[in-house]
Amino acid sequence: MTPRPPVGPTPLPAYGDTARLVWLAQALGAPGLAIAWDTQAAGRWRGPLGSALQLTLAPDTAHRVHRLQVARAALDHAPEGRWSLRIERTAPRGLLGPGLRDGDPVLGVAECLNSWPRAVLLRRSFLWLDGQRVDAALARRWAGARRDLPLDPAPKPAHLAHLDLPALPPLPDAEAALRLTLQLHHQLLARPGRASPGSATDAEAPASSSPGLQSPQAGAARAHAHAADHAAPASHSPADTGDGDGDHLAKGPVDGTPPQPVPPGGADAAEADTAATHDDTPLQASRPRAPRLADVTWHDEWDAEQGHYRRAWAAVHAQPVVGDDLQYLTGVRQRHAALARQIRRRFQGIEADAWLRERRRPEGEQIDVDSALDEWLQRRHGTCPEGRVYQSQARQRREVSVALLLDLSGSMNFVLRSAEAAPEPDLDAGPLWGVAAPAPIPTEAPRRVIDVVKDAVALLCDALQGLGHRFAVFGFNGDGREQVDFLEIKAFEADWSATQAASLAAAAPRGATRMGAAVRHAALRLSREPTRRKLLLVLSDGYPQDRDYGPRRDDPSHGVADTAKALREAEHGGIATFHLSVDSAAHDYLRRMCKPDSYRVVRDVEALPRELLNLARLLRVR
Amino acid sequence: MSLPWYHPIGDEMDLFEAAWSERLPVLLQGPTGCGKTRFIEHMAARVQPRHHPGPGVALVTVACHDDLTANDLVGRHLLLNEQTVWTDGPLTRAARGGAICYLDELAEARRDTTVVVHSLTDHRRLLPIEKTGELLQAHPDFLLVASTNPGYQAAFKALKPSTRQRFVEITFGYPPPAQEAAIVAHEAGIEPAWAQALAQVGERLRAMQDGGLGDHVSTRALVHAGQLMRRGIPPRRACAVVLAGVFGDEPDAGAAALDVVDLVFP
Repeated sequence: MTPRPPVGPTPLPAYGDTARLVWLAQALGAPGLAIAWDTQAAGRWRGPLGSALQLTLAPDTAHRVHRLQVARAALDHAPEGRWSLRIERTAPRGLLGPGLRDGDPVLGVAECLNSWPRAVLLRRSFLWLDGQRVDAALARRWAGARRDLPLDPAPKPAHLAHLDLPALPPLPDAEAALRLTLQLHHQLLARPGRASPGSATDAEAPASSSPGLQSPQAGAARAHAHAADHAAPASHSPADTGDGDGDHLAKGPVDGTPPQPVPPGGADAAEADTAATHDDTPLQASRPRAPRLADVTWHDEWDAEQGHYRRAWAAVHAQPVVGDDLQYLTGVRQRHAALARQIRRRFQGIEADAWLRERRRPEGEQIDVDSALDEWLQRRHGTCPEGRVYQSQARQRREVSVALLLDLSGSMNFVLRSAEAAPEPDLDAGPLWGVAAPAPIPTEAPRRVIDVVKDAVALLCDALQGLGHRFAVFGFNGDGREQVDFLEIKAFEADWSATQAASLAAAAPRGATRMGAAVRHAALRLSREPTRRKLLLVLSDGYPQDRDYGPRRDDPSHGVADTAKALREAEHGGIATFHLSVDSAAHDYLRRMCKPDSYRVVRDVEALPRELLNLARLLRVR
Repeated sequence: MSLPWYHPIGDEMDLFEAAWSERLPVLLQGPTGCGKTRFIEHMAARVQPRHHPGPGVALVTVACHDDLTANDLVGRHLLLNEQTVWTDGPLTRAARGGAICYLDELAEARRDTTVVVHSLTDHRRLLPIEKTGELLQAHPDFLLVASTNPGYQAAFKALKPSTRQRFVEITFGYPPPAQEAAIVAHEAGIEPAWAQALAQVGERLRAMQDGGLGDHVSTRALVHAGQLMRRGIPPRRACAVVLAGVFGDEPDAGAAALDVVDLVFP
């Protein structure tokens, strides 16, 4: 699918508004609800039936209408909602039409409606009738929503305008609504002397509007409905014109362009477009080869199948990264100004309550009873006490070391989908991470996963620096068990500065992910730290794999088991671990690799910088 | 002794009674404001001691924090007229006199502090008091109860496994909506319809927060909103002021929370 053109003069809505609606959707319990933005009118009353997961909202409608739409969509997914219509239960009750051939896939409401003649008309009737039922249920369930309902009344379909309907009976569920719709529909089709339902509607619709029921909303809407009625063939083609943009949105990304991976062999090409990779020729020439060979550590590897360690199996080559982009840090702070401010604020909040009692002080606000007692005893014994009998509140001495371990394997070079492309309906994605992407940052060069990860890391480093923690940034990639590269981007001793940030900018992804060895090496570095508390934070984009990491390259079980073992070893050595993944399929293996509370999957890689806000809580150590 | 009101959710009361009969230390796990403290107050007033008449034993509560030292728990010498006088700390007082010692948010305490409870939590039931050289045998009616708040500051603020496995763990969650409504109605003294709506707000916001957003809305917060409503504050306003802090500095999330409130209250 070609990317959608930019949305005219109306800019994409601000991130915040979308996030708010997505959170609202989540609160109301709509499973997998995605919210798409479109310039077309909200698709509620004429919207696609095949796409229960897409809610199309126009950016220029009022917020209360947005909220109402979200509430309706949530209710659609409730047990009595529209999408709960179970066709396998419905079929025996005669709700399936003659248009359905044996073997046709029947999945939901759309197929059911399409199986009848004049499917478009039927669909319109159903949407209207069932929509009113859902609204009535909405008013029952959320009393406060009643106030919003008149803002977006159902436009009565033109072909029903002439029908004098009595007050609607209360309809318990979608099946009842479908039954009633079919009754109406058959009445309509059975009317004598009609050439076609469409023309009859045209003649009669403007003349009458039924009392007691809601009248058609706007002339434009009605005209649109008429056009659709005329154009629609009386078959069960699902692609009727009324579906409009929402349908395209729903279907498009399925056959959309996948992100362009850089093949393992194409690492050279990938490195060519980074500003300064650590393997760029000048740097390459200046880096001494010999020390690199000298700084090799052989780590064990856990063989889960055999149930024992392979001793001294993986060679970790530690090497510093040098970069020359001294403007990088400034750029990051500018690109994410608002977020950086927010992170700073949140971390400052932690800082504010990080006070600790200091005892045995020569001066202070309170008497320290224990030391006063000691002093008194000393005086009784004739020695000369120092008079350190006070306690005071002092800013706490930080006792935390954090090691950030970045997966710098080749897959990090994946190009992020363009901001203009339609959002992908990820059926598994929770609404929070499925859509709540921040507004895209306008850049000329295509942004890759690694770019976002680096930005996020730079922001986190800023925050850690502000907290006064000791921290280091390491990267790793590799090519076989004898060449696991451990890239030292920032050492514990170094201050976080433009130079260190340049090293971060220069770290280039390539090769594979031999995670266990890298975790062991990072843990080794952490274990030498003098601090009382240590945290290893792993940031990766996929499962651990390497060409000789287990018997089969495509089977992650060996790498997962080895990494899990390495993490347990670290924890045993008093190092807390946390794993952050940007791989949407990561729940699977992270569940096996990490302890329940110690990992997190970021659905959308662009939400990663924001995810750091939540890390503040993790780093709150006293 | 009048019994503090408590609405049981599962088998927690049976579990506690059994643990009490065997004098096994109990760890209450659960998110903030879900009723752990109320539960222990209720149970302390309810259990049958061996050596006192009537139901109920004293409850000694210690709110743990990262500045709490072993001295604060066990006791210290104080100066009195040129003499030192030993004063029992809350833990020692409870162990000596036969009371339930409730260490609230035990994980907040420093790790070197938490180990002083170890010898009290096994078959020995002993508290060695270093400063006086006393080896205190706990009273038969002494019981150690602690609480922690799981999933909170996960990386560092966890109990040491050696501490944790000494306790019988009773896990608490927020009550299901119907029961939560009953609790809110009773505690805040408001109409059942309002209590139900408040419970619905709580349920919805927790669903929203399962994605790692802010802290969970506690039953206690809902009770507070109910109390404001009983005093004549309009429901939406009451929810807004009580729930304001829940989402921290996430302005969009706070706005979404108020949207939920708007949908529930007419």
